[in-house]
Amino acid sequence: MKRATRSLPAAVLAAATLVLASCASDAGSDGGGSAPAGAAETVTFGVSGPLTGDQAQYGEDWQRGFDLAMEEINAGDGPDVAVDFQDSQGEASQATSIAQRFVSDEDVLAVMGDFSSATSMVASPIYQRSGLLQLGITNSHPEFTDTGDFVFSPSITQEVEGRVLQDGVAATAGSVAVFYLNTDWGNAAFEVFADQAEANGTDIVYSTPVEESSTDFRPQLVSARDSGAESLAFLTYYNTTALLVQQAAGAGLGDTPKIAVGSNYSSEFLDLAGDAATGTFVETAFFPGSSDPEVQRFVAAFEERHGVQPNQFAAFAYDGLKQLYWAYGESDGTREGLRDALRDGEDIPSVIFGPFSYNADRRIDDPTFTWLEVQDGAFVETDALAVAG
Amino acid sequence: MLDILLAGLINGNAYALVALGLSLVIGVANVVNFAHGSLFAVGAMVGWFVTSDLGLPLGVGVAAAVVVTAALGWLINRVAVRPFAGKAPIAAVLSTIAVMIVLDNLTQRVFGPQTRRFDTGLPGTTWQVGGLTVGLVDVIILVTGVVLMTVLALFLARTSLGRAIRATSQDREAAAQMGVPVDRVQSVAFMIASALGGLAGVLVAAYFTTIAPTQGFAVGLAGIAAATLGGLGSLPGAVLGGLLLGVLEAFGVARWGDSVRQLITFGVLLLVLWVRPSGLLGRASIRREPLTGTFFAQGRPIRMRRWQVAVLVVLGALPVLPGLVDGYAVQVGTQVIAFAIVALSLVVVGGAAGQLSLGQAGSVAVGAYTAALLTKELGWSFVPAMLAAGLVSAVVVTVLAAPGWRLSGHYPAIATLASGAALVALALVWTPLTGGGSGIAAIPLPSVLGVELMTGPQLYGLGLALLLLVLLLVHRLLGSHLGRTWRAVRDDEVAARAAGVATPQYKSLAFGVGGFVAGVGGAYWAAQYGYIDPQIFSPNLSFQFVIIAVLGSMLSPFGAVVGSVIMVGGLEVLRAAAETRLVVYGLVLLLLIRFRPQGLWVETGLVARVRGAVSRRRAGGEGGDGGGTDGPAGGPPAPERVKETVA
Repeated sequence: MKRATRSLPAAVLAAATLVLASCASDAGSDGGGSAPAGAAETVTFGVSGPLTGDQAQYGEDWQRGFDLAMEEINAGDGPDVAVDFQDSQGEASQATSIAQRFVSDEDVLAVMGDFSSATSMVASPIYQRSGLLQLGITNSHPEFTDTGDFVFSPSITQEVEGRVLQDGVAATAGSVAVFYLNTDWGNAAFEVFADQAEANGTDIVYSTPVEESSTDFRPQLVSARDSGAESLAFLTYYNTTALLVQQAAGAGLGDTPKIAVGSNYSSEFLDLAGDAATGTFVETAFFPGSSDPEVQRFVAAFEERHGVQPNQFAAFAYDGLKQLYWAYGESDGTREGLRDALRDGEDIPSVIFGPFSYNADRRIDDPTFTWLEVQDGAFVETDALAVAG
Repeated sequence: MLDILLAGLINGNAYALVALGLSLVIGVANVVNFAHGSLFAVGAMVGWFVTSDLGLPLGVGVAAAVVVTAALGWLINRVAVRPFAGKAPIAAVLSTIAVMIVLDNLTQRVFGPQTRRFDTGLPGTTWQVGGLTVGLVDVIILVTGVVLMTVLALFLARTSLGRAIRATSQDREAAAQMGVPVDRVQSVAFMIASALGGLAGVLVAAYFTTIAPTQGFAVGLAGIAAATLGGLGSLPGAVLGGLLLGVLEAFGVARWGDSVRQLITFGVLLLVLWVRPSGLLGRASIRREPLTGTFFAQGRPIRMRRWQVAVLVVLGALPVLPGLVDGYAVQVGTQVIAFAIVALSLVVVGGAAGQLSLGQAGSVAVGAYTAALLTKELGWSFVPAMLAAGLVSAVVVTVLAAPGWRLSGHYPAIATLASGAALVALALVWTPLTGGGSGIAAIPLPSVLGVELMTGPQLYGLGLALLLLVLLLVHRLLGSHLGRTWRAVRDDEVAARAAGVATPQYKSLAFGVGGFVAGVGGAYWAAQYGYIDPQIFSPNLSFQFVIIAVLGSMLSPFGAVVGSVIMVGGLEVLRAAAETRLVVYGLVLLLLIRFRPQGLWVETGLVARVRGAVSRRRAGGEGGDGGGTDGPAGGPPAPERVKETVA
């Protein structure tokens, strides 16, 4: 009895050693650079994004894109994919907590998000320090990927978009009133827009920042009208843009050409703005009306699954998950391997850009844009603004 | 010019309707109902569902919205207001804040978070009158608003129920003695007020043609501003306040852009409170009750022995050792610390001096911006920048609070709400200094004594050290002569003044110390985030601070830590429930305020009795007091000294 008690610690120690040894040997065989494990396995990617709060609907757009991509992947051969979507409420403090959580969770091989660049960039250092890939699927801030070589973004920067938008304005009018979102994104886009306006010789006769939470823009629209602007430019997301075009009609600006950034290219914008949307121009890298068969397939599948056309946010989410899954297939199944695959990959599949590769800044070079115009409640391809674009 | 005036009147009309409901409730129940904005959103979404989703006529939508919001109003009164009748108003205010959290998130869950198109079925006819474009919807809204207000006025003046409501609002006790069923009157008033809020939601949604469940919050705050502007409890005042606010905003926004909207709302409110402490049309309030008051006699802080303090400090310090605790837990711990430091500032302001601050996010913002700018632009190191942040925040808060000492009743708390929100609005407007809506990015990591702290555990360690220092500071202050004077002011301001205490000066001092602590918290906040913008410091954040402090107990410095662990840590645990967690969280909060309003970290009779029984069984205790906590080691100081003087 006494002997047995005394030998207990020794037994525990021996058992522990055995367990440790077996772990070590497991690690050894894993570290051998083997290919991704068999079809029975599930690959998990983390998502940090807003499911509640002011930006919740953009999180829902994402979710639709992820759902479709997940269904398609899991219906095929190869390992299944799972998405761990954590609600950040679009808040920086939540995004950092979530980042820590993903970093500590060994099952998570890469992360997408957060929605706004400002929120994402607070979390970036955590991902970078821990060597976990952060794919900012909608992070267009020009400096977003500067944090380090684990931070990627397929999103078009405001720098590119602000320029393209101003070229479109210059093609139709000599003067413009600009409404831009008072966020990091909006301010940066407006700066580029203003520079390009000078280069193109467009007069910015009125400009005003708008808040995402505001609903009443009549006072500014009246001021814009009184400034004699020949066109209106909207560097705003679709909720705000819908209110702006409606109230513009009420302020007597219904017939003034309206040009809005690509994120307004969404069925939600049409629903919300109704008739007032008619004649609004948007520029987009992703166009579901495109004749590309891959795009046609995606749009049809999305409409069947969700009953609506995919908007840009949903398309980037779909694309992001597909990219990560592709990179996983090309990698050794580690976090770093996955990053390497995305960095070195040529012809990465995409419904938005077609096969592409990331440049040295981990962004996309010169994507092509299509100009669309709202006619009879639908987006129609147009070349009315293509002159300068 | 006229266009802008018209736009302002229409927007102001909505504010007026919301403010009317708020004022009605304040008169009858003496509660600022923070959930009123949520009812606005519920009304709008119900209206949307009936008209646009089910395709029924607008009239049915309006009726449905009115019925649903009236029912919710009845429920809010039953659950969150009536149980606190005769108790400290702070409890009812906090529970309406909890209801607001529940309702806002429930509305989002039920209707989805999207912005919806509201189809009124009304023709979009417009007329040109001179240079003025007038829409049919504009006219309908203005007319409906005017008709509603007239009907309400007639109802209050002519009907017996209306008279009963007015009697209750003038003098509740007298009305009850005259046979007015005040409880039922209060229920009815709540239902009418809530229905008004819901109706305003439908009208505004019809006007803007789009509506999102998240819009209620801002409208609710604007309504509170409008009601206060006109004079709380005054119905003509509510209308005047709403219209005035709408018009001022319209002209301000047309001239300077959207970002000045908040600054105008809260700046104007603050100025009016300074110049006319009871609002434009309000009667001077006869009730002089500090909003906290009776809350505090109900318990005394739990005392900790020295070894218990030591154990807690050691446990709290464990995450500092790298690799011992996983990174996620360390990050959550850092958040807990950041919130606890700010909540401590409320223990000084609220627990010690009896003032409820609903604008603490403003003080935090001042500290955060000061520290961020000093470290980033001027290259200061963290510690001096942090101290400067505390000082700047203390000065700003004291200056802003000073004109408010003439205020009484609900006004001081609303003044803090306004000054906090105005400070943050200023950060949004003052772009050259603060970066405006872009905020300040790439704030340097804190370096202390030449060592740059960059890992999670290091930042946690810095926070823990700050927290312990602040705990020690607050603990010492509460135990000092100053703390005793503060408590005298808190428990009975009139008596304190009669005894020769210069109450305004002592309150100023409390706000100053609170501002310093909050500023230090803000500096830590900025340093560990690396990024700040005005959105972070929304009034919602102020509410969170208050809830943390009350949850833990405003009586005890350590209560702030307890509250933060539960609230911030608890939020992380509830994350498992994903989108519904905020609803759950609000409900838990509601129950806590209802059943344990004095906070968790206090002894109630029950706990004391159990403890007594236990220690008696332990053969006559080992000498009672576990010794003072005056040692320089600090640690979460046992609030024993507080107990001595409270008891």
